[in-house]
Amino acid sequence: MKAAASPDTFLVHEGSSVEVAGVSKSFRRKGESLSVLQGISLEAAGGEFISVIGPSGCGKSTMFNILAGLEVPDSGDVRVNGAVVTGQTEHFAYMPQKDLLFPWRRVIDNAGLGLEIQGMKRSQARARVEPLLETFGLTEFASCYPFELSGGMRQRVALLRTVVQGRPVVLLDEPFGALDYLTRTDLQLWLSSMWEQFHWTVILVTHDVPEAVLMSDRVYVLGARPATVKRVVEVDLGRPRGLDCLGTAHFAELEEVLLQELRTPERPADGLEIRR
Amino acid sequence: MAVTRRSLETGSNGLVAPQVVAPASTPRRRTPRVSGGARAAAQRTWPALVGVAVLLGLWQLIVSLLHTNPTVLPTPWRVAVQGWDNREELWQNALPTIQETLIGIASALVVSAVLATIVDLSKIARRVIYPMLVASQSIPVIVIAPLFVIWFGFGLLPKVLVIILVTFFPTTVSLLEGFNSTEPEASRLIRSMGGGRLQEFWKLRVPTSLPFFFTGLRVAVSFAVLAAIFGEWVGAINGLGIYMELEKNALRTDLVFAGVVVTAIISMILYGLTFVLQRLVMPWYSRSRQAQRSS
Repeated sequence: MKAAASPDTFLVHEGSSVEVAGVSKSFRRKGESLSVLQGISLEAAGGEFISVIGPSGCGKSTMFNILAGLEVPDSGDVRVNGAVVTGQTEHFAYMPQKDLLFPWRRVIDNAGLGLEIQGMKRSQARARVEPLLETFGLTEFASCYPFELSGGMRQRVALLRTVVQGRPVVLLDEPFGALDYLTRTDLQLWLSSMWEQFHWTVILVTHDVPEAVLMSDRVYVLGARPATVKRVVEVDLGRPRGLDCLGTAHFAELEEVLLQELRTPERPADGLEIRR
Repeated sequence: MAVTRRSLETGSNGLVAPQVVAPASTPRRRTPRVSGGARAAAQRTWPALVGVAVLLGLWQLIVSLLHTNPTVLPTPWRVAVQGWDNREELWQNALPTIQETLIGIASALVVSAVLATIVDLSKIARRVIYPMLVASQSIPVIVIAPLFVIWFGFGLLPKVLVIILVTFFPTTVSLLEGFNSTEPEASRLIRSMGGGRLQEFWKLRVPTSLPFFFTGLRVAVSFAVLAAIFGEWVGAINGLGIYMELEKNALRTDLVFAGVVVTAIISMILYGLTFVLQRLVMPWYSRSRQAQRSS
């Protein structure tokens, strides 16, 4: 797992910082205006790993679309290295919840999809992907079709497809949500080690509290709709973090803080209202 | 997704000549020895063959027992013997039918590829073309085909037009259905990578549509042979359609049946060829389905 490829093959924009400043967004549904995000602000310095957690339906996917440049916020900005990039797609590499590998492409060509979309010939894309296969543990699967891979392997390909684009910021949208517990833990540790090796700037959106704690430098907790940042928790665990880190008292402490924050007041209040 | 595809497949298999499908759709890719593969194929084929043999046997028996006049209903044996004696003539008439069918299908594919692409890429085109597409299927081919002969004569063109009219619909609709089965998430991924509408179309929507397309193609192929026969029947110089019509008028019912047998063989071969083509175009698809089946 030690660096087989030189980091420059990733074209990592080392130290690309990202900032979300006061982003709000509402939708019109049946004539009513529905506020989804309200003044969300977060930031990651270059090479930082931050997570965003929140209850289901809190508008995380809307936030993701805004970051990825697929939607434009009503107000607020997205900035990369200080420059406003709101509504532009080329600064973020997006890894969706499902692996979305194309069944008709071999592993190496799935990994090179983004490069091809961005104008490379297939042979050039392959040449770019090839040296990274080993680092991602995919060497022997290069010419397999996705159906021949396990769920964990498929996510590795999906991550390779994401980072090989060499974009400044990596967006991970619940990347391991669909996997079983063991595979998920394996991949979390693996991703953690990959990040320690390459120091991409990462924004991870997840439901999984331990996942957020294990990977992140900082966790943003969102409240229910309209989403606001309720709390920011610095994860002051040392690195590298391995399996042993999961059992420490401090890990459990951070986990509890986050869980508490996620569960706070709204719910009982909701319940009371319903009873009336 | 996979489930939809599979059910679509079986749907089409159920529609036309299932006994032909079996050996073609489940080839043995990883069988170590060729003879083993052949044996397995034979094992899968024999029920169909036995079924056909039993039917023919019953037919033979009933007609011989009733002493039916052969101009009304010949025995299968007579059909076989007479068909063999007239094989030269049958072959000479089968050739133009095969040619028309292939040219007709190819043209229909071009038409439906163009139509489906336009409809998929443009919402306005969708609103304009889709109703026409559906309406085109209510054109009574029986009435139009003779007009084609009046307009374009006894040559290739009127037959090809009849085939296009009959077959472009299933292929166009299956292509459109295929395009629409694209996962919105995957489209989002491509857009996030900076891809535009055209890139999404070529890199995602077209490959996604292929399994649907082949289902449509199989329906179209079986219609196409019938359409060619019909196109000839209303007016042609040669071809199985006009051949059967002339033999019918000559009270050679046995040779009419021989023509039917040849037509069926042509249909089966073309139907089987769609699987060969599918395998060439989508190697990943049949392999993944095989893997699903065995797991």
